[in-house]
Amino acid sequence: MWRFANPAIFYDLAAKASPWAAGISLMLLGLGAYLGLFVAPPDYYQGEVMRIMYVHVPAAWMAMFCYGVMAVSSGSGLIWNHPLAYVCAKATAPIGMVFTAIALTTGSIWGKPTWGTWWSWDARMTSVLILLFLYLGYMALWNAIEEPVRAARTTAILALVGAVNLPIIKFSVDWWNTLHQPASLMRADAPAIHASMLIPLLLMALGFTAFYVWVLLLRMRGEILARRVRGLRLARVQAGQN
Amino acid sequence: MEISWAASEFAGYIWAAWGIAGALMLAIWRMSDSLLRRQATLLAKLEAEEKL
Repeated sequence: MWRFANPAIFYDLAAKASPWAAGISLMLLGLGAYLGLFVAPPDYYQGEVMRIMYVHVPAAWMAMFCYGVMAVSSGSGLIWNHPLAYVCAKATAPIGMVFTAIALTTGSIWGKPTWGTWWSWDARMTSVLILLFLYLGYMALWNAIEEPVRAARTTAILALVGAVNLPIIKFSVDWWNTLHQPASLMRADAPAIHASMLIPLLLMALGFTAFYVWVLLLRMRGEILARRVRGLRLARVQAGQN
Repeated sequence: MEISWAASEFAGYIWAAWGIAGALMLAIWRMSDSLLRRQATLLAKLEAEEKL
């Protein structure tokens, strides 16, 4: 297992896995979009506008999932000091930020016709907005610290501290009175959603996950190469000094 | 392909949400792919210079 955590071996594996992740992602997203936009019935209460759910809900799930990956990778980096863990955390942040931005904008667009407002400072929306700021802060901190090892450790601490926001997002609709509806799928009893809507939703969620893997592999490979470039430049500077 | 909701009063909201989601996903993929290509080119250039 640890053999695959070698950056050079991982780079080759990621290069081979990337086209598969791309193909699976495009297939699932295409099928999910077709079912969600053309086949799934309108909601009896919200009507056609409910079709926004097929992008909003998977994006919101992925926004939280990516932060979870970032926190676990950061924790692994701090414990085992493995460079790939930090590479994974750093590569995940912009992808998670994009999913969070999608969740917020599509949620806002969905909110206008259903709630009559683009935005409300309720617990769910506010905690997701904080998640967006956490991603932005994490990326800004990486860019602000020049020394890579110190940047990795400092950002890892931020990622771990920020993880406290994840249960707040998940349970905000239960802990406070919010405009946002409670969970329809991830609940103790059976999902409160019909199969005709559940299948496209799950396909889109799987498609978003495969898309994340695809882009993560691209970004991790880019970061591994960037570290090699930095190493070569550093060696050249040191050779010039001797 | 016929879109049953195209004439619905909410069609604009649906197009906007799906369009923004698609555009943002395309943007992050494009940026990530460019990052990888840029670093690969840079590394190849540095390694070629090392050999000289």
